[in-house]
Amino acid sequence: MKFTKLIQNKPIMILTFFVGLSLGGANFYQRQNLSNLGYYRNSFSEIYQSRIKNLCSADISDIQERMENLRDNGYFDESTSEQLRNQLAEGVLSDYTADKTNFFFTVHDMNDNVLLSSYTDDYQYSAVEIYQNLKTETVETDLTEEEYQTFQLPENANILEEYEYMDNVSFEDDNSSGEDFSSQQIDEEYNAPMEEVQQIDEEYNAPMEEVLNEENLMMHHITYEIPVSDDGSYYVTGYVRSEFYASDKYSNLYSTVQKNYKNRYIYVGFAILGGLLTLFSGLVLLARAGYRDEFSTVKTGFTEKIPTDVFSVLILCALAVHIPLIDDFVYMPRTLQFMVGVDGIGALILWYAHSVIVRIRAKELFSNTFCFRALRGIYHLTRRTAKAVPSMWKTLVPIGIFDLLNLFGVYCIAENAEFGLFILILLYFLAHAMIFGILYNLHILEKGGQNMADGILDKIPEKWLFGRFLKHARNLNSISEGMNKAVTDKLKSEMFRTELIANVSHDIKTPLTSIINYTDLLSKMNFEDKQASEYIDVLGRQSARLRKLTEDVLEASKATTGTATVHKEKIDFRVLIEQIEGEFIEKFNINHLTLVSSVPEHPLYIMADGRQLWRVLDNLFNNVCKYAMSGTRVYLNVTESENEITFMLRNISATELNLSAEELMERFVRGDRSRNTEGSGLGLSIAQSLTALQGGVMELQIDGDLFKAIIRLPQMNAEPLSQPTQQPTVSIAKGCPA
Amino acid sequence: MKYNILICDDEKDIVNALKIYLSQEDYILHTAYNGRQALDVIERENIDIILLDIMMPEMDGLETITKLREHYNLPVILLTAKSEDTDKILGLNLGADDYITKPFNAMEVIARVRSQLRRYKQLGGAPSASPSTYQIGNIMLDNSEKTVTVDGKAVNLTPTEYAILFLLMKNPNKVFSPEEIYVAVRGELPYGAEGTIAVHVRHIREKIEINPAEPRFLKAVWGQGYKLEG
Repeated sequence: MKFTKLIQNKPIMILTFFVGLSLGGANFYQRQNLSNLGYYRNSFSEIYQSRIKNLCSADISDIQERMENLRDNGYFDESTSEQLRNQLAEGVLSDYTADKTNFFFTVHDMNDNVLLSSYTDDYQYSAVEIYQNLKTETVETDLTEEEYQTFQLPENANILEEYEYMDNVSFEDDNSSGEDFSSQQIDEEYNAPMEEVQQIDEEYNAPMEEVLNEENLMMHHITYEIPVSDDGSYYVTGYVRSEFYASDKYSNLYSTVQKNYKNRYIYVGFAILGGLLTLFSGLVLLARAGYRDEFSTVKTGFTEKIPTDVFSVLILCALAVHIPLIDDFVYMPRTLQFMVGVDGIGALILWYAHSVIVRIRAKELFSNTFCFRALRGIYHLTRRTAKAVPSMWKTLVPIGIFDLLNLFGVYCIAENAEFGLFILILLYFLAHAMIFGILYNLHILEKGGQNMADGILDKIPEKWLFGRFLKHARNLNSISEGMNKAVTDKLKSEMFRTELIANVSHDIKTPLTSIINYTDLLSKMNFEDKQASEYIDVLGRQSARLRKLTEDVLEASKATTGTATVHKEKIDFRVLIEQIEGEFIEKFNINHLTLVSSVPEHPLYIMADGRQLWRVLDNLFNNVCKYAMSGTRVYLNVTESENEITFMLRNISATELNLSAEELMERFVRGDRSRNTEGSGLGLSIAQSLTALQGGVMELQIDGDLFKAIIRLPQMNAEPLSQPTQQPTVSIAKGCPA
Repeated sequence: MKYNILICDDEKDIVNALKIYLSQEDYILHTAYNGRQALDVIERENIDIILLDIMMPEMDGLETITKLREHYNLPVILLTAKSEDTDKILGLNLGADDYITKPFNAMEVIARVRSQLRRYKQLGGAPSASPSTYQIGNIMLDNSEKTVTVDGKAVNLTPTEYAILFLLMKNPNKVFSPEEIYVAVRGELPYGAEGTIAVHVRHIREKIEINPAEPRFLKAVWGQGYKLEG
């Protein structure tokens, strides 16, 4: 169960994939490398021997070169002074001190007399001193016994093993006679008890050759012949210490070879392990490709948005970048680079395989390719073009004929026929005429279309139009005809409606006249019953209200349908305010309202129908008288801006305003829902419609008990103000109780 | 002298109501219920004034006026439910002398009838001999005596009101803005003008007009000023 969960975890599987890939890649590379170096064919000794020989040969050839230099400088000549010789020798030996290298050498003549040697047991000794000691055949050491002991190589099983191994191997070059060391000898020496120190001491006093033979653990011995003169030569013998004092290429080589040799099968193991991990995680990932939690629905990821073929090319390009990494080692440490390369390539292959599998599962491997889309696009385009061709042949055929004639003309000219020039000129004029004709037609159509868009429903003149332009113009004309008809019909129906309302109201008025008059007559009679006169009062009041309602309905209908005629003239809004104030001042006084007005000093000219505007203000002022709280102030402000004049009337409502401003403006809505007061509820609606007829805007604002009526009117030469989009939704026909 | 009044309306109830009201005023009443009947009555009787409805069967009011005016000069008051401006203009142009819309106030009808009769019978439209006398409709202003009479009845005006009316009477049909009126009558205005020109004009209207809400003569031209229509 846990394992199942683990392999369902995508990030962990991806991590496993990369870990396996890195592990396998690195180890595979190492194994390959070692295989190339012979680790799987040869024994440790063979590998080590072959490789150390190379290093040693390089050092010996260097010495040889230096000896040839010394010879040329007269080192071997009898005449050379001791001092010069020392200097020369020091030049060579200083580079081969024990602290620098584990290599040492001796130079001897044909009689095996040592002439120069870098050997020293105490790497603190200078090479020159040793040489001198050797010369005098005495070796003096100022090491204490303890120090000497320390200096002696520590017992080391590894090294012993090495000796044994070395025992069996000949290090010598073919042309050199090497010294044989028996393992016994070495064993003895290394296992020498403390008592034998003296003996060792003696051995150190022994001549150089002997010391070399017995004491030093020569590992490699190559002799080179340096020709000095006709009669004699010198030989250079190079050695490598078995015990490394200095950390140099020899010690490095040894540890490397040793490590590699020890690990040579581990690499294989890890490579296989890594490979298995990679294979397993990769297969798991691919098996689950496209599925989330259950194996039913396939979900494509971000990658699948890239068309398959584009994706393939991208992956190929990425692979092309990665392949040099495992081929051309110039960028990083080789193993690391190989690992990176293998990881990259593996990731790309996994990604590609994953995506391809998802695409196959989502059935869009081929449909989601750029090529497929392009082909489909071309297919559709072709089909559409093919469909359009029947209507286009009228255009295409003349163009074809034109082109043929054109070619013919050019051909004629090429054949030096005057006729060709004539054809071309003719074609030239023909083409221009056509272009002019088409542009003119287009212009006419454009103008007509623009007119229609602007609401001018004139017919497009068809006189100079031809072909498809004519057809288009006719279509446009029939559209505009239809629109014209619709507009006329609408207008007619509105007129009809207003007329209907007018007639209805006339018909109501006649009986109403009788009611009012007979009520009036009744009121003048004396009744015994006191209640009778009360009833007559009610009749009088209600008939008066009915009369007002009838008048308002008619007016509202006219104002909203726009059938009311507007006689606009230049009027001074300030004068209008003064007049309306004059009309209402006493009514205000009766209601204990104080009017506080603030109007600019200079004339405020507007273009409006004075009577209608007066009706608007009259309605607003009447409203104030009806609904303002007695004893409060009513504020009237007129302000002007660049384009408009703003009139604002503010009062405190006597009753709570439990309606919104929009509701108040609707027809048959009154400030008090209970409808106790007189009025038709049409006043504000009429005012709003009439204001709109003047090109102005009326709005109401309610802030608690503060009632604000605002009228904005355009200044004399300004554009009419844009009306708010929200229109009263209740129409007369629907809202009229009659 | 008793005047003969013809009431013509297809609505019998209205005719009866008018009869009741007008009978209080000592007139001889005649009735007709359509235009044709009205013309018959006029031919038969010596009618002094006619109250005429417009919308009637057989012959409507407008047609009746047209026919009537071919032979008669008597005052015609249109009494109709048609309250449109265009209807009023049409009616007056066809020869009507006054126009009352339904539903009407009976008192106003009586006042207008009286006014028309007075004008037709007593004043006779004779021009005033005195240059200091101005007359518009039934309004008479004698500047030498500083008196104003409406239908021969003296009207009490304040000095400011008189000055304003005098200005308007001198220049009938001319629209005066409140400012112009103010400049012309400044000397007459009480200091710290409690009432503006508009208030004074309204007061004048209330004194000289039969129905101040729908003035015949002293009219407000909204947004421009006032004029006296003659």
